[in-house]
Amino acid sequence: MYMELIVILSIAAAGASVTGSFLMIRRVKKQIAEMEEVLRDVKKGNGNRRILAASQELTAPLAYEINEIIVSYEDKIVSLQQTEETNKQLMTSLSHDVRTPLTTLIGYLDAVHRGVVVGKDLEDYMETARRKAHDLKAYIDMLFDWFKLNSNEFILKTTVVEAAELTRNILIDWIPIFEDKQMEYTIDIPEQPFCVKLDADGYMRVLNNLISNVLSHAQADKIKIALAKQNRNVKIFLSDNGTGIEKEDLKHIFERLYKCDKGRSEKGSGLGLAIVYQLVKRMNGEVTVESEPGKGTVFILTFPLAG
Amino acid sequence: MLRLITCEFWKIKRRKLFQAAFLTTFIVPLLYAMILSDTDLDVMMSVVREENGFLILIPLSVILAANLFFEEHDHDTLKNLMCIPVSKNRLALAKFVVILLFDVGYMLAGYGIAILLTAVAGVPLTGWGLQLFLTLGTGVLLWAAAMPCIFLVVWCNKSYIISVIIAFAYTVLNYILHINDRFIMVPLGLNAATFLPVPVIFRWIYQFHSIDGEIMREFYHRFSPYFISTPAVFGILIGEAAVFMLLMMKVYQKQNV
Amino acid sequence: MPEYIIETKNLTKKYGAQKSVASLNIHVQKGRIYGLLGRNGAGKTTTMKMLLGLTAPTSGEIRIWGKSLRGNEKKILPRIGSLIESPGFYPNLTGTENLRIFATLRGVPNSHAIEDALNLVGLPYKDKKLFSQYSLGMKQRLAIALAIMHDPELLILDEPINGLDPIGIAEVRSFIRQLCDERGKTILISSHILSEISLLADDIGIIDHGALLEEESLARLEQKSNKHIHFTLGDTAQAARILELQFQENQFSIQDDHNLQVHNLAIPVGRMVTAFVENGLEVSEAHTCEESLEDYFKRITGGEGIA
Repeated sequence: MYMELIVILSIAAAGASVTGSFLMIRRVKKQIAEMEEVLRDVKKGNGNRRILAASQELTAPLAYEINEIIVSYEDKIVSLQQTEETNKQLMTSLSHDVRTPLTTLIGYLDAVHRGVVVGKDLEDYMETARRKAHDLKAYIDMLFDWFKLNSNEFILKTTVVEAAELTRNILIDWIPIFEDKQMEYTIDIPEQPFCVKLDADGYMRVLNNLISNVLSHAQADKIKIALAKQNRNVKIFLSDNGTGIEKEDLKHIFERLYKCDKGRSEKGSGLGLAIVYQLVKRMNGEVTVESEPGKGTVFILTFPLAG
Repeated sequence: MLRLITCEFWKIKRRKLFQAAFLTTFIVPLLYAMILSDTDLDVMMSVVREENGFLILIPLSVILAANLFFEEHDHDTLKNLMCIPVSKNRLALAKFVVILLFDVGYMLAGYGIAILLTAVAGVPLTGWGLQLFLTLGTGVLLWAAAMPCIFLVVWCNKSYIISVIIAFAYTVLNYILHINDRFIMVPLGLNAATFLPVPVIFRWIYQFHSIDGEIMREFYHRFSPYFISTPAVFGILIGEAAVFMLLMMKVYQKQNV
Repeated sequence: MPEYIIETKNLTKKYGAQKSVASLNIHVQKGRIYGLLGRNGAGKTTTMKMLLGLTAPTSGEIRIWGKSLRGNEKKILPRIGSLIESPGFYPNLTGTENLRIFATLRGVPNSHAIEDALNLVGLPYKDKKLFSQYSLGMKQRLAIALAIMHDPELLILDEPINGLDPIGIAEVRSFIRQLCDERGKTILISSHILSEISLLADDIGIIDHGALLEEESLARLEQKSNKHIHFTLGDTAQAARILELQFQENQFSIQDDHNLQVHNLAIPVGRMVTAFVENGLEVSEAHTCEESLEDYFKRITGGEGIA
């Protein structure tokens, strides 16, 4: 009796293991065929394919690794495409923004060369040409700064500064310009000290860029600069009562090369605000903008208080 | 397939019904041990197989199977499974396997508790190997026996109460008929007695009973021409079960997502 | 020739004598979001069920990735993620356990897919809460997690924002947009809420009583929605004469003695006003009107609007 039982059980066990192995091999074969199909599709360019496997299966680790490779290459391709696109934009922008002032510059110099102008006019032309040359240089300098900022080559010297005092000092230099342009200005900076980790030069550039942005684009006659503490941050508000910015444009205003007035006749490279954005970010701050078309605009800088 | 079965088991986690169902395997042997004192392994085992098995396991299997089959419909998960895609046929097969494993496990637990009680009572464990084989075999056969009823329940697709009523009706019918001499002492062939599962199982099991007493000997003698051999019993019952499983898969396939 | 991920030809579904979907011909382009817009009961869900093979069509053809759906389910369905009707999960299991079942049966692209999916929809990983205790919003989120867990190339979502709070809606919206823009996935969503579809979809298919009334890109639909110029003048009869004689324009409609609408936008408003004034007509108002997308929808479905 027992012998028979053992024999039967052994045969059953053997049969089960053979069937089991056979089934497992069949499953693995099927999965390998699936992998082949997916990889063929990826080769054709469809990077969105994935190989699916349950985590306990034999082929799972292999499948997961392959998927990760596909994903990382997809990501790289996407970001490269984006970079390529923006570089193209930059190139066209660059050629246009340099060509126009350069052409006008040449125009002036040619006129001088031909002897078309004399005397006072000649002096004026030379002066204009000189100014335009300087503007061009300033633009190219800004462009290089932007590139450096973007590729993290720009080195910021952050130290703990007293933000209120620093802001006041920067604004002092602007006051004559405000008065000259008949811009009504309000400066609201409290007496107490605010210690922030900033690069003084960087901060100055940010404020300068924002203010000159208002002066040249906002078409406003009132400007207000205020500083206030909020929780563990210090906020700097720069508001004007100018034409404001459309909601659609607000989203893109800090993108480089973005200019609200779509005609490129105005001065300004579109880089000013992009540089502001990068600088502020590198100083661990945040810049936002709110605007109501027809009423005015407010730029808000937020920096964390030191310590 | 294996994954489907694993998932079926995951789905019954925390379900009190299944947990309680399994525990019922201990009721009858314990009851029996407490009431009657002269237990001998063979008798104990037959109690496990016949009383426990015929009376409790069959309706239990039906109810649990119904539960499994209506699960996807009740919780609206069928659409998610179909989108994987999982074929309804394989899903049904997986559920059948779960019930089979439950039934065999149930009988095994019954065997275990019976052995324990018998050992505790000091009775010698004679022929425990045979008993094990018979118990396991009965587990499989009972699973097959429940199939026609499970089909009925899945086909009717009505409320749980109706399912329970059908299950018990089927159990009672089978049980009554298996103790009916006229019904079981019929040769194998195309007759009702061959197709009703429990009497058939009884006709196979009884031949292994150890005879105790004059009445039993006489009955055994009368009954012996109608015993069914092991291959025959497995053949008939598995065959019957297969037919009903196919029918069930057809019904399940038709049910709406 | 745009690449169509989903294409149906005369897709029809009849329940008895009633046509729930009638000869539908939709085209879902690769890498775009297609919004199926229609009132409740218009046939959106039935269509989606047919696309996933959950319901067999009465007649018509479905082609996904250029292959017929019937017979190719095993190859096509694993590449699709779906959410149909209300979330269906096992109530006695936690969210993670539920997802694990589907992850085991379908396979996942990497070992942390479940965790990532739950994080993305804002549900806790390996949490003890059972599905039966989930709020409606959580249930919907879990359904979304299930749809994206295996990183499919095509998503078919039936009213995905159903049951979510406003923040959840915004999150899902931006997340769907991101999937399309950054990862190049193709998405088919259905909704009866026009405002949601117009915020999200690139292409729109308007379905009513089972028939596709219109299939157009959102941009073109917005154009189509009847733009006209509305004039309020002293005498419309005279204005009509001027339009016909001077501008050879007869695409206008007179509303009453003082109100006139010109449907052809080719003529600059300024010129028309000048012409009116020169002829002694008083022009008290001239402005461009746009029929909103909602009005357009009401108009072509001939109904009271969105249910």
